This record gives sequence, C-alpha cells and structure tokens, in this order.
Amino acid sequence: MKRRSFIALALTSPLVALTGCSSSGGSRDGDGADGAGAGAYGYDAATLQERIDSKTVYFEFDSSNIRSEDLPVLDAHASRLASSGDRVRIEGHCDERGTREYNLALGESRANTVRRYLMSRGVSSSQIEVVSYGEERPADAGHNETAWARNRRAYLDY
Amino acid sequence: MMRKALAGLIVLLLGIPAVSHAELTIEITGGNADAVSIAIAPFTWAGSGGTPPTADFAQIISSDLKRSGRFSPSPSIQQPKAPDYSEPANLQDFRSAGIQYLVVGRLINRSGGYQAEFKLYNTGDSQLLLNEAVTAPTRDQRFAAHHIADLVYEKLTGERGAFATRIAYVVASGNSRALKVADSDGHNAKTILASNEPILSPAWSPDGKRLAYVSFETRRPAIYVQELASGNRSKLADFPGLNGAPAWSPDGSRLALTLSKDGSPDIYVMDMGSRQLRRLTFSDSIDTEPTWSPDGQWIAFTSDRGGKPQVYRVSASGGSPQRLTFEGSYNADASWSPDGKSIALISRSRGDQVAILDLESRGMQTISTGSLNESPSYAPNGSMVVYAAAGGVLSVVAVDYDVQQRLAAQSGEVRDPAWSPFLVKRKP
Repeated sequence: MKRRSFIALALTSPLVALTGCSSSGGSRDGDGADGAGAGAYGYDAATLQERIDSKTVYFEFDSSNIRSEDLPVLDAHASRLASSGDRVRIEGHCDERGTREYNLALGESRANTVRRYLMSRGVSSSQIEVVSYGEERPADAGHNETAWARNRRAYLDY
Repeated sequence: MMRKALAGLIVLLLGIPAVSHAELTIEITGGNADAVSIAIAPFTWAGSGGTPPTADFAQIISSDLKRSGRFSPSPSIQQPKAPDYSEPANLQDFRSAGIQYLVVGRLINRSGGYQAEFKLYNTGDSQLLLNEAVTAPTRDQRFAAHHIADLVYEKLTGERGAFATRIAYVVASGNSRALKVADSDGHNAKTILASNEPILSPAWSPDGKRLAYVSFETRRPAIYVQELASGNRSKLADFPGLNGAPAWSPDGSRLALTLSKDGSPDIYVMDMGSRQLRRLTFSDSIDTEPTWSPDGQWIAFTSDRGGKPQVYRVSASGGSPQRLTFEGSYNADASWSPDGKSIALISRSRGDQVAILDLESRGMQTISTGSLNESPSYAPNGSMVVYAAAGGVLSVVAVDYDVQQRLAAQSGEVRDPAWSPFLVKRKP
C-alpha cells in the first residue's frame, strides 16, 4: 500500500528488509541488544539507547516509512507505553523543502505511521494523540542536508 | 474636456490599533527596456492652514509604476521643472527630455485628512488624459497614493491597477509568529495575531474584510476567521487531525480546506452559512492546498495519489480529479490566476521555483529566482505574483517583465504571503 506501510520493506535493499524482520520480530524489551545485533544495518547498542532516550525517529525525504533501524526504538517505547498506560503525543515534522501545507500533511502521515506501529505493538489508540507541525518546528535551523535529515522526524512526547 | 471627477476612494481600513512595527524593507531589481517613460512631479501643498501630508505621493506613485515592470519613472531630480498645477502645462521640456507622460498633483485639506488632485498628460500631443481627485484620510495617506498609481496604470495600460491592495504574511522569529497585513509595497505593516505557536496559510475573503488562517494556539492546528476591522474572530474548523489550507470561493459563500478527520488529508468544502461540510476528494493519499478557479467551477489541489505530489483539479461540485502537471516529481501549492487561464505553482524540477502553468498549452514558465521558494499568490489583476523566497524574504515579481521586488523584515523570516483582492470600490 505504497507510502503507508509500516516498514520500508525492501525499498532500498534486501538487507534492510532482513534487518527489519529481525528487529521487529525480536525481543520487545528495547534494551538495545537486538538493535546492536542487527549489525551494519542497525544502530549499535549505544546509538540505539541514544535514539530511545531522544524519543525520536527519522525519515527519508518525502517518505513516511519507518526506517528498519528505528523499529527497535519504537519497540522500546511501545513496550513502556503498553505497560504504563501513559498518554503519548506523537509529533510529526518535516524539513523545510516542499510547501508548507503539504508538509503539514506529510508530518501527519509520519506521525500516523508511528501511531499505527505503536498500536501494532500493544499501545492502545486511546493513549495516542497525533499532531503534525510540518516544517514549522525544525530541530536544526540549518539549510543543508544534515539539518534536513535531523528535521524529518517523529517525536514521542510523553 | 474631461470632467473633473472625484474618485470615490472607499478604503477598507484595517481598524487595527496603530502599534509601531518595523516596516518591510524594499529593494527593486531588474528593468524593462521597453518600459514607458513617465514623470511624477512632486505633489504640491495647496492647503489652507494645517499641515501637509507626510506621505511623499510622487515617490509612492513612481515606485508602484516602476515595480509593475511596465513603466520607467524619471527620478525627481532628473525631471524638468513641473508647471504649476493650475496653469496650463508646458510639456515641451518633458517631451524633449524623452518623458512620454507626466503626472502633476496637489494636495489640499479635507475633513478628516486630505484631497489629492492630479492630472495625467501625454507630453507628445499635450492631451489631458486624466483629471481626478481622491480622498486621503490622514491615517491612510499612502493608500491614496497607491490608488492614484492604479488610476494612472489603468489609463495607460488598459488593465486595472492593483497597487491599492494589501498583502498578508507571517513573520517568524524563533518560535514566535506574527500574522501581519501590509500595503502591497510593504509599508504600513500591522499585526493581526501574535503567537508562540505556528500560524500559517492566511487567506483573504473575496470582500477583503476577513482573513482565514491556521493557528496552532491550542497546540494543534485549527482554522480561524478574523474580521480585520474589529479583530473579532471565530474558530471555523477544529476537527481531529489536520485542519489546514483554507481557501475562499470567489463569491465568499464557501471555504475549501484540508481535513484528515476521516483518515488521510482530503479536500472539503464548507458552506460559510450553514457550516456544512462536503467532502471533495476520497484518496488515501495526501490531498491538500486547494485553490479555486475564478469562476468557482474548479478546485486545483496538490495530491500524491500518483506517488509524488502533483497538481490536480476537481469540479467544485465533486467528481473525479484530473491531473494537471506532468513535468518533474514535485509540483505543489497551486494558485489560480485571476483570469483563470493559468496556475502559479512550486516546481521541484526547476529547483523549487515559482512556475506558471498555462492551462491551455500546458507549458510551464519559471518566474522566480533562487531556490526554496514557496507560497505563490497572484495580485488581483494578475500582473504580479508574490512568493516567499529562501532567506525569509518575500519577492514580488512582475509576471511578464524582468522586474522583481524583495520585501524583508528587519528581524525574522517573512513567509506565507497572500495578496488581497481589490480593496478600492470602483465608481459606479
């Protein structure tokens, strides 16, 4: 179903798909071991922990697919949220390229992809609120590829 | 002999408290070799007592005509000495200096402000082309000068002028946002709404009295409508999910908008009387950024139903959308031209440029420069387009001429411009 699938299955390479399987099918404790175990195509343990702590996952340009290496990040949060029952507000964000209203829509699409993934991992829909800021709240004010990559994100506010 | 007419300048004043705000700074670049030469002589003060207006009428009119790309006004220091207003003009000096048209004017007191009287001559045959007067309220003198520029422009081009108009835009500085309205030349900026949450997508009602916009002041997007004169406003759309991209129908009776309450973002039309919604698009992709054709029959919008954002159009009464753009992988944020014949949009294949799509030939022509341009909006006479350019400035470009004007705030980024409709009512 094109852009709306949870996982960027085999869109970039077969190995990414493989990583995606091992991550999403792995343990749900989110301690980073699976991510590290994913090897060159996933985060190492330290990076994964960093990503979990930042409550942020990142996206490719004009895409709302969750990257396979970010699945363990979301698994960790899903696990916490499912057991705590806490409410979470998922913020979708975009880089400055593209038009403002289209980016509002794209940011919402990103946040909704994360929402659906969390729900598939046991988080209740009643716990989740989604909001898109489009390109209105950049994490990095720069105007280059590094800044854009940091700004294409979904943030779990809880 | 031309009868002296009092042009009823009925300005829709923005009755907003006169808070001191930095003006937008203005820079005009480019020029047109075929531009018509004209001189605007300094307007003379002929009032009895009182103080003369502070606005420099000749300078305002000159700048307006220059940025249209169609005129080449002589700087005042290069002009021959102008004849006294009430004397028959000796136009020989102007003709010899290569100046084809001359405007002379004077200002007198009038209750609540001033009256600006002016004459337009053809220096070649000494014909008096215009002999009119406009009222100039003290607090809106500049607007009266823009109105005179409109009348001169229309007399010499046959096309209605659009200088006595305004532009709404958003100034962003860190997380703070201010929705502002300024004259079409960037002067007289007034704040409509200030917030620490995002404000975007201002849209003028066709009567020029209200703005619809998106504000995140409740930490999520909702659409508000605000009356400019009173500041009164109401929340129009606050559905779950996205509430965005408001666009008034040409008759003001309906508002197109983007909602995602039923799933993915789709285009809806709200009846402004009953507030009833009608859903126009049904894709599970992104559909947003609606713009109405001037006859109210069509709505063009951005959709990525084909995989990448492209511009489509759908009948305003519903039906199946047709794709309009085929060049490149990203065409978005369409703005229908006032004559209905073309659409301004943002084209990725051209480096996020403003391009104009001719709806008949389907040809596209780039009219912007730089990169990362956004939010094109037509002047109501179709002669100019304002857009947001990289670096947080607005650019106003003459559609058919290589003349560009940049408007920058003294601090903060200027974005999301929306050009008002005509604000001066025409003589019956």
